[in-house]
Order: sequence, then structure tokens, then C-alpha cells
Amino acid sequence: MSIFKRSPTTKDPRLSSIFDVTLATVKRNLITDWQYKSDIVIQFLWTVTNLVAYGFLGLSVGQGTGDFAPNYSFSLFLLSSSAFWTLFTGNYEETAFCLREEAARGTMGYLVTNNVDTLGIMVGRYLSSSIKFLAIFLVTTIPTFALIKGAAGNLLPHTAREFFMLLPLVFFSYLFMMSISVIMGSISLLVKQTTTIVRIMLYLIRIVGGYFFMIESFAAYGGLWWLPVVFVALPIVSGQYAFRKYLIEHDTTVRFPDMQVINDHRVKNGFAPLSFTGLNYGYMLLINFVVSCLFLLGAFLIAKILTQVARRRGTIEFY
Amino acid sequence: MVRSEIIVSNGLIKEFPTSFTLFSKKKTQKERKKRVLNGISFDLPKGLSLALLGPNGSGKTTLLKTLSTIYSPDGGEAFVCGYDIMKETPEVRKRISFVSPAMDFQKKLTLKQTIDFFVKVTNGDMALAKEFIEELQLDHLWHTKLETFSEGQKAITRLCVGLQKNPEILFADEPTNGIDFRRKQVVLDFLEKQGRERTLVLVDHDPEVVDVLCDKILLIALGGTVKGMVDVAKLQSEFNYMYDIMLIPKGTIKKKEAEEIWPRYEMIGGMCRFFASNRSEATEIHERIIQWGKFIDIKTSGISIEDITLLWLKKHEEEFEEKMLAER
Ligand SMILES: Nc1ncnc2c1ncn2[C@@H]1O[C@H](COP(=O)(O)OP(=O)(O)OP(=O)(O)O)[C@@H](O)[C@H]1O
Ligand SMILES: [Mg+2]
Repeated sequence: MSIFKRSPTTKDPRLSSIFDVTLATVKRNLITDWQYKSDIVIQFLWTVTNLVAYGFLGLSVGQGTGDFAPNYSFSLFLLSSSAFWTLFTGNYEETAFCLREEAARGTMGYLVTNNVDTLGIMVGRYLSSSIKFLAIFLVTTIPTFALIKGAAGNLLPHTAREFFMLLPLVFFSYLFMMSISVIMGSISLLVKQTTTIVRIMLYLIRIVGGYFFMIESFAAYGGLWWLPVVFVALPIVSGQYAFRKYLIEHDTTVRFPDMQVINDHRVKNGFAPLSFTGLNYGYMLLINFVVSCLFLLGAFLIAKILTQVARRRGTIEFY
Repeated sequence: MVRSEIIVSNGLIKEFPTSFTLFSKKKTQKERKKRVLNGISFDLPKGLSLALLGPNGSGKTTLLKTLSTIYSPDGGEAFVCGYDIMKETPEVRKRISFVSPAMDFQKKLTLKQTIDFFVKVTNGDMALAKEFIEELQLDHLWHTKLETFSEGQKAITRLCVGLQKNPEILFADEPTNGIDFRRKQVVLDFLEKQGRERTLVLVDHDPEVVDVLCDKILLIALGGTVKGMVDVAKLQSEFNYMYDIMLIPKGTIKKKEAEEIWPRYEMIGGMCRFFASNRSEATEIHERIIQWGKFIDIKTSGISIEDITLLWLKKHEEEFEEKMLAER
């Protein structure tokens, strides 16, 4: 027998068993996962965010009824949250990932060399996505609410006045979320694994914004009485507030929580609406306007700076 | 500042961070950076086109991307179309176009929608795009989605996207890869026709592409340094080679023996390499080697443009060094 020829019978010519493949895959994944230590930290933070969100949620519900008993169910509360966020979730995510997609497609370099701002790409994406999700909102959420409330009358403006009072607050919410989307999108120029970071940000805003529980709940915990007052200055928070009131109570009188009331610990209930006696609607709009502008300005600056950094580091596109 | 050069590069340096992680044991700056362009200097006079050549990983793509303002340099300076790539970036970007082989498209858009988008974005010239597509006989795909395009068809689309802007300089990284032989000729004709109006800066390993389209070759060495710049015309007149015949001798071959077989040769290790300008010369060399007889193997291949450039540089090494010294 020639030395160059190996007898085919020396080894069983079967392929590796599924067991071998599984073991090899597990080993490879553990090794690569360990290489991405920052990912592990981010995933850890994601878990913490979830714990916080649902922890507060449980506490809020557990508080039961306090001074202001809710006059609607908790499921209706959550439903109004998710309805409102139909308007902002998809466009936020698509904007946060759009540069990464552009880079993966290899068009990033071309766009950059043609003076197409990364900012322009992101804002363009945000606007087109917003239109898409507004359409989705109109055909899904409104009918759902009509069904649940059992009255088509809740679908459309009860009075034109209430409806038009709500619109500017929703508009400022759009501006605010645009700035957050742009910031997250810019971060993706430097850090490629941004999926979890984007999710964490979304959850943080939802926690702060009263998605899971009334923001007054924060005040129920001792020293945090001032938190809702700060949070409600964010357009997305007052937007959510007004939207819920409008949808459930046909009322849009969103005002700053009266600090006195909160400081007195009179607000004990988890998700009941407060009867505010604070600042008026005009102030609310003004504050929304100023805060949106500040955030947009900040976001545009961050986009500019991070684009420069990415050109330095060579992460602006895949290579 | 009015310059007679369309591109001036002075000691251009580009470094990439080796890794961007939160936890890295390497703390010093030097350890964390990888220098890819290490002081690239050259001038390209107006009206001439340039080919960048060099081994894989020598930084050709990085140089293209730095000159076309995708990356910002970490040292040195460069002027493109007379504008500083660092300080006058928008002016540079108005005048250039960059075509990357990595460029892919929205698969669900048709060719027309795709070109429309880029024409809008760059304020480009739809007529020029149409002309190019028609010349390349892709107009029957005008309303076809790009997901069905072949690699070659995509390569043509990429070039079209680069050209429609009607740039002063077209930077193109391996632009003719994947394009079939016949269409490649059409592309070459099209680009050549525009001749001196448009400067091309290409990375392309095809000798024919370099030959037809470029006037100068910038040879880059591993480590990102300039090995030399050569005129294509000079190269042709001195080294008009098409084939490379590698002879593996039994034992060794003496210089004299080699010279008797064919005067144009090069010794590499124990082997000998002969250069032929055409097929009949190649056949002749083969016959002579067979006559000589003391060989194990003969291999014939098309010569690479890098090889010729290197040969030229070797021959003119002294002259070159003097020139470089004089320039400093
Ligand atoms: N954005 C980047 N970030 C980090 N390293 C990079 C980046 N781009 C290129 N490099 C590294 O720089 C080196 C040179 O790469 P480049 O793509 O410029 O070479 P090239 O000459 O074009 O090679 P080829 O002939 O294979 O195309 C490579 O080692 C590559 O890994
Ligand atoms: Mg390359």
C-alpha cells in the first residue's frame, strides 16, 4: 500500500454527531461572548432596567387606592400607555438603527462624501417612520379603544377644543423623541452593538414617562416628591399624561403636579389620575417648547461631534 | 490658493484604534493604535489619472477613503482640487465622488428609483447616468428591483452612482471587479472618452484598466508608505511585458545560461523568471528552455502590473533615491 494513500477504513467516515456540534458551538459562543465584555455589562443593565420597571409597577399596583381612587381599570391604563407609544416606538428604533443599516449596506461612505449629513439621514428616517407608525396607530389603536370602551364616541374629538389642546403636546413629544433617536443613532456610529442600549433607553423613558405607572408614584416614596415635577417637564411625559386623560377621561387639563400636594404625601395611590391644581396649560406648552428645543440642539451637536469621532476612529462605515 | 496639482498629499497619516472596548488592558496610546498610512506624500498634476497599487492590506482603500474625506487623517495634510481635506471638507466633497465595492443598495428599489435617489442627494446629472446605463446596455433593467441584479450589474450601478454626480475626481476602489470582459471594454471606453476632464484615482489590479485609464502609478508598500510613483507611459516603453515565464531548474541556473535563453530575466532565489512582450515571444522562450533542458518545471502567467512597476523601480532605484533626496 502506498504511503500516500490512507486506507479509508481507518476512520469512520460519518460526520460529527449533533452532540459534538452543540458542544463546539457552546464553546465558541462562550469564548466570543467573553471577548465582548462591554456587551455583558450592557445586558446586565438591561436586566436591571426591567427589574426597576416591573418592580415599581408591582409597588404601584400594590399601593391600592389612596386618596384619589382610580375610576378605571389598570388594564385600561396600560392600554393607553401602549397606544401612545405606538406613535413613538417604531420610529425611535428605526432611527436609532438607520445609520447602522446604511453602514451595513455600504452606502454610508458615499453619503458622507456627498455632504449628506448623518443628521439628515437620521431626521429623514425619523420623519418617514413617524408617518408609517401614525398610519399604523390610526388603524390599530383607535379601533381597539373604541371596542374596549364600547363606544365609538370616544374615538374622535369630544370637543374640538380638547383635541386641539392635545395636538401641540403630542407634537412636542415627537420633537423630543426625535432628539433621543438622533442621540442613539449617533452612538451607533461608535458602538456597533447598540440593540440593547437602544432598548434600555426606551425603557428608561417609559419608566420616567408614566408608561407602567403614574409618575406621581415616585412621590409616594419619601424623599422623591420632586421627581414627578421634574419628569413632567419632558414633553413625552406631559404628552403621555394628556393623551391618557384625553382618551380615558376626555380631559386634557395637564398641569404641573402641585408640589404641595405631593410633598404632603397625600398621593398614595399607584396609578390614579391626580386632580392637579398647579400651573396652567399655557405654561405647560412653553416649558415643552423650551425643553424640546434644548434637547434637539443637544442632539444635533452630539450627532455632529460623534460623526467627527467616527471619521477619526474609522468606524463610520464597515470595511 | 491656485495650484497646478489636483491632489497634493503631504505625509498623510491614518491610524485606527485596534479595539474599542470598555475594558482593555493595553493602556498606552501607542499600543492601542494601528498605523495604516505612514506618511504618504505625492502630487498628482491636473489632467492626469492615478492608479494605486500595492499588496493586500497596504492601505490603498484607506488612502482612498482618507482623500475622499470619509476618514479624517491623524497627521499630515492633503489638498484635493485645491482644497484642504481637513479645513475645507465641504468644498472637497462638492467635487469628488467615491465608489466602493462594498456599496450595496436598497434591494426593493428599482434601478431608476435608486439612481433617482442618488441624483437628488448629490444634485447630480440624470442625463449622464442615463447615457452610461444605455451605453452599458442595462437600460432594459431600468424598472427592475436591485435584488435581482448580478454582481457585475451591481458594479455598473455603483459606477453609475459615482459618475452621475459628474465629479472632478472619481475615486474608485476596484471598480471593474465582476464586470464581464465585453462590458469592461465599454466601461473603459466610456471613461476614456471623458479623458482629461475627469481625474480618476483607481485601485485596480487589471493591467489593462491601469494601462488605458491611468497616467501614473503610485506604488504603496506594506506598512502604508510610498514605494514610488511611475509614469505608465515610461513603464510601457521600458517594460512592455505581457507574460512571465517562471523556470524551476534542476539544481541551479547560471546567469550566463539564463542570458543565453532570453536577455530579459530576473533571478529569484534559485529560480529564473523571463519576461515576454507577446505570445510569440513567450512561445520562443518556452522552446529555448526546452532545448536547454535542465529544468523541473515551467510556469507561464500573465504578468501583474505591480510586478512591472516593481521591476521599473528596481531598475531606476538610484535615480529615484536621488530624486527623493533632492525633493527633501
Ligand atoms: N476602519 C478601519 N478600522 C480599523 N482597521 C482598519 C480599517 N480600515 C482598514 N483597516 C486596516 O488597515 C489595513 C489596511 O487596509 P486597507 O483596506 O486600506 O488595505 P488595502 O490596501 O485596500 O487592501 P486590499 O488590497 O486587500 O483591498 C488592514 O490591516 C485593515 O485591517
Ligand atoms: Mg482595498
